[in-house]
Amino acid sequence: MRRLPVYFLLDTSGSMYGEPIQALNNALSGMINTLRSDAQALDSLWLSIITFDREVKEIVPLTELVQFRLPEITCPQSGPTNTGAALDFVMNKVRQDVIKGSETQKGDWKPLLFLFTDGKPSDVQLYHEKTAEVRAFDFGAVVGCAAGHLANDSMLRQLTDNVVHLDSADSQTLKTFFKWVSETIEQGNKSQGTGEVSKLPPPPSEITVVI
Amino acid sequence: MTETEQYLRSLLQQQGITVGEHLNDLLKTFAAGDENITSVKNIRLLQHNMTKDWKLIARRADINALQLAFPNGIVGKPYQAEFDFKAFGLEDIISFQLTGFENTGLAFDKNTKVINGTPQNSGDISLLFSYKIDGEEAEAPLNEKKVTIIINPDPKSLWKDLPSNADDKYAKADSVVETAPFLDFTFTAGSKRGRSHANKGSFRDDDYAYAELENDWGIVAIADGAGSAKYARKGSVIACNTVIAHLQANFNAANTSLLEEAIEIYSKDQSVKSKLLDIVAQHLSAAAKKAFTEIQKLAIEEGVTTNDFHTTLAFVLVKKFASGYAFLSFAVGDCPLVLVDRSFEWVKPLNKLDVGEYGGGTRFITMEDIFAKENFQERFNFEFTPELSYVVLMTDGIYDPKFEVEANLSKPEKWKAFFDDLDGNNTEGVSVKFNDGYTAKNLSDWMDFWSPGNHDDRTLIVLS
Repeated sequence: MRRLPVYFLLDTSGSMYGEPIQALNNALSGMINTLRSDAQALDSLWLSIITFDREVKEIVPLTELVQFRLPEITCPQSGPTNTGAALDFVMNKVRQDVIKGSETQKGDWKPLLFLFTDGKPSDVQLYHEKTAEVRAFDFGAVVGCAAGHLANDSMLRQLTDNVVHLDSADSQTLKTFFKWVSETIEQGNKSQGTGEVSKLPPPPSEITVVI
Repeated sequence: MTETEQYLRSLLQQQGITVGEHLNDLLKTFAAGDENITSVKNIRLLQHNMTKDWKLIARRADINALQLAFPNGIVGKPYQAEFDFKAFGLEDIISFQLTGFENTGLAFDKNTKVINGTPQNSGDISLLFSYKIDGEEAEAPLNEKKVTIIINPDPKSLWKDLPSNADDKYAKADSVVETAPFLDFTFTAGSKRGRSHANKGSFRDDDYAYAELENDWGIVAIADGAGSAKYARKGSVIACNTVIAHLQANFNAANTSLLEEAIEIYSKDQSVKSKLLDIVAQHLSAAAKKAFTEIQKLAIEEGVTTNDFHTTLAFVLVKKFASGYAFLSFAVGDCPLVLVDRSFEWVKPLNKLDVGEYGGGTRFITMEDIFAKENFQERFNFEFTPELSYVVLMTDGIYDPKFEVEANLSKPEKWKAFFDDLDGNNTEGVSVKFNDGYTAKNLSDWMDFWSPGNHDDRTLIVLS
């Protein structure tokens, strides 16, 4: 069966401590519930959740939605944002996990990558290297989400052309964002021409698309 | 040294007080005093109790933080999970209860520690795990921890069947099934909207068309509009109809005499195949190109791009000659065209599928660069079979679930299984017996077969 592998890279650096991480947990849980009631997603979606602060942690390895359980995501009170290390980690995972098609093997749908951050990378050098690697990889879509006034949009633009900005990481905004993420996921399994860039659904008005 | 003296000495040491040699005897006497013996005993007891209390508190906190995860269930599907204390590292629990199963369809057997049953509703089942750890007082209240079992809806129950908009400018039927005599064959076709489209009330993107041409030639065309393109449903219609109209106008006796002569030669001398393929390509490439230009024309009129009409296209022409049947084909995309021996001795796929490394990636007739690519010539094919075989065309909605990978299209045993499946060897027990009377409803029902993750439009054409 064709799987649709989706990776979430979530910033859990110090600045997310407190209300923002609560809001993120709630929004993720809402998104999972939405996806659970989607027949197509239930049949093909596989999810992985990776957090990054000083450390990169694979909170949930790539798991089919049917068996997916969202753990509580926590974050330290302070510390750097190692976005580059997180990208390095996820690229290794993607190369391991995602099945490519051949004459004798059914390939997965192109993987999707969502990166959520409220700050800017602390490991800038590694980040530059890894963004190039992500761009060169054949993802179905890479979406960068910058939340709050400290998030650096232009840094995210290096990673992907699909950058959205949330004015704050409050509960309502995050909920809206992850609703849109689930819509994006739901259209991730459609046939398209090889080499063509897939179009994302239009984001809701609360979300600013950075161009 | 008495226990009390030992305690006193280490206490004084902790305080940084050195007891000189000359005071040893005095300390011994001090430690032998009843009051001090009782005090040390009491201190020891208090320390012991405090340590024990802390261990219990820390243990309870650990258990609280522990992820007690049971496998997720599915509504209506039998569920079983063991509450394995060893696996969770809960071997120090001396008594417990797991409650909250009322009206869930599940029950817990405390002796076997197994949760069993069939979940009734989707959502989270919230359970209460009450427990006592080794070391806790018999009369102490039970500790409590919330545990959740996630129950998914049955995916089958979630699919909706919403009709597509019949008033849309590019409206088309959600389902078509037909059968008709066609040259020496019986033509049978079914084209059904996939569940993924029915679920949203969107259109069937697949299409097909067929016609008998001049001079006893016949053509069958199949096309699969891209799910990501907004007018794909129309692209597939135009692609099929255009090649047929083009060949009806151009593939006539006057134009095909050279081709037919070449085929006659080929039936005796197969070394002329590459010459023959050149002639085939001349005839068919114009038709394929016409499909592109017609779509392009409409896209310009509509003020959109040809990409909005993305569709694959494959077609096969067939004619009976004195010594057998000739097949000419063209294909772009991932619709297999296959000749299948009626006793499954051999199969001949006519085309190589355009498939990428990842699911869904293919090539379309609406991509102008395919005509300029060096592999364009490989899109044409010619076959000649002495006997009447089955001719099968399908879209990936059938191919993905039934054949899975391209290599299987060349395996006669897979085709034997496929025709057995059509004959009724399937879980639904629906039978479509070709050449032996079947109803359109049979084929339509057969095409509803369930296959997890495979909910694309399904089109199957069999010349039998």
